[in-house]
Amino acid sequence: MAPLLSITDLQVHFRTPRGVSRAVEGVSFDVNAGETLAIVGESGSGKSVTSMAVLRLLPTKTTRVSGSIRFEDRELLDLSEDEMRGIRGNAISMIFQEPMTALNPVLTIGSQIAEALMLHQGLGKRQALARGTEMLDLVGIPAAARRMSDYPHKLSGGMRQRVMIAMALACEPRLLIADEPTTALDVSIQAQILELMRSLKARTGAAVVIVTHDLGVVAEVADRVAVMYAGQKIEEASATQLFARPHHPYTSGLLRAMPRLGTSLHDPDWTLASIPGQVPSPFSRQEGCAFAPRCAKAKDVCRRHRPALRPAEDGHSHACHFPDNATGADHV
Amino acid sequence: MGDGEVLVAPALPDLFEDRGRRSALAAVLAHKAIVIGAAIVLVITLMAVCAPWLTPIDPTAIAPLERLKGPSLAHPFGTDMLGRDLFSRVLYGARISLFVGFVIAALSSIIGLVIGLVAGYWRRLDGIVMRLMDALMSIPGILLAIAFMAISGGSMGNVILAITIVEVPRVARLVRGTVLSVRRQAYVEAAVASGSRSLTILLSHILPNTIAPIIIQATYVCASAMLLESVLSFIGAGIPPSIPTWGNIMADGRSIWQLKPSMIFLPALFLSLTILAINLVGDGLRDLLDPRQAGNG
Repeated sequence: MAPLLSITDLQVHFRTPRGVSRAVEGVSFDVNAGETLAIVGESGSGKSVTSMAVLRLLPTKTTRVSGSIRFEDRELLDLSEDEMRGIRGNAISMIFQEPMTALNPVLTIGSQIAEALMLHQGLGKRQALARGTEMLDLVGIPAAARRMSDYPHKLSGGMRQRVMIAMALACEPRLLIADEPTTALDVSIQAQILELMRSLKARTGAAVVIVTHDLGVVAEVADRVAVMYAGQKIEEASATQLFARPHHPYTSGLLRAMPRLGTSLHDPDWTLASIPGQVPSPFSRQEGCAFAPRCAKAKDVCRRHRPALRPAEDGHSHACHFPDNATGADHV
Repeated sequence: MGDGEVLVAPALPDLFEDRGRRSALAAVLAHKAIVIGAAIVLVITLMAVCAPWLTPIDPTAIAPLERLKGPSLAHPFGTDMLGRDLFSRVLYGARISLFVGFVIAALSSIIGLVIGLVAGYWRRLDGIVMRLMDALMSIPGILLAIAFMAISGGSMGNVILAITIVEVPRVARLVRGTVLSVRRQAYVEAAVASGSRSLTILLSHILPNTIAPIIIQATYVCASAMLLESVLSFIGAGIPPSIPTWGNIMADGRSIWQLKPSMIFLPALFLSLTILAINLVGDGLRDLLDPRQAGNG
């Protein structure tokens, strides 16, 4: 079966006063129906830009997008703006990072939920409001009918994120893109929201692309993980594989940088690692592996030749000359 | 901080719960400035509307024998140099001032809103439109209005037009600024991501955010328009002197002000009181509609 979403060699360049910023450089991945893919990376790794590019939400004047984004056998990059509008919020919808600002303060919750329903499903106002109430109920908002006529300022961050999820799922999208959906929330609320997303996904069968820098979130929800660094995908694997046997030194570093319960800070064998250095600037493209300057294992070849993404066992793939934990990988 | 003084945080009043439950009308009524200002405006408006019943005397009727009389039962404010009753002239003058003020406030809000929305949302038009507005604003309002009146001639319609031209750029700038800040908000991006068209986003997401600032601005425009109208009439560049307006009454009184200062002071008092009251309403609404106080509960 063809994947639901298939991104091939996606490149996104921004024209800025400081020069051209190469935010995404040749990223490819597939998302199958009903699957949850996590895109992981630090700030500036291009993960959010990739998700914005799928819905073509990047400013057209200053952005060059090339490559291919196929969704249900349609090339999204070739669609007209009108056709694209029919997809946004309908077949593909998006949840944003900031629930506090992603709702319009002067409109009621109800009218904001009803908007997409009236637009895409052709519902009348009354039907749309009724369906909106159902959706609020579904995402666990108490007294949903009364909340419909409330303004956003009366809701907490967690409640607003529930409203955002209700809005995103109202038109039963086949793909949900969630850009850091829990970053702005308290830890206890994060777990609730992730649990909600998981149960709704099970119910609607929507595929989910979750963009995050939080490996805890990944472990919680993802089937498969794509790790991005400096605008490139450097590793992809199933979530269990990735956590058990990371191949790329950057992924290993990320995992070591994640504090775990049960380890003592006084344990001499364990320290919370950090990765030295910073993500390279998107304005200057360097030769060789983008991670080489920060990599403990980097050798001359890393600084000269950029490693290609190569498949390893079980759908695991990585872009590294000297991968960790890899069996049968061809060392250069 | 004295020794041994213990800092105790005062108990925080549960403002937001309270505010949420109250109706909008109750919130308005709890605001003293709005209530006082609105009451004054209402009284003056009623006086203007009911002028024919409050005074039986025609404000333009000349009575040479009754010239420059002091206050009496028949003429509570006395009479002017042509024997016209000042009380009825002031009442009928209120009609003109209020009408001009309200019409200009409405007209410049609507025109300014459209210009501001267009300039703020379609950035291609922004440069041209806003430079035009800047050019209008760079000319002192009173001079611009006088120049327009000099070209077009004195009539009420022309006064309204002249002052509207002066006031529109202020509203347009305000609206444009609001649009520019609102269009960068995450909820506008979210609306784009949910497939709404530009026009829908402009009308259903951005427009409602401009209403509160426009209402506040409209009260200031109304007050400033009334003042400007009086000035124009006073210097003879406004409404024809045959029509009693506060500015015209003051203009008539200018030459005899030592003899009869009340001819200047009474219309001026009404004008100041009305403008003060409208500004009170505006300030009150600004407090009330300020999103930092109403929102983020």
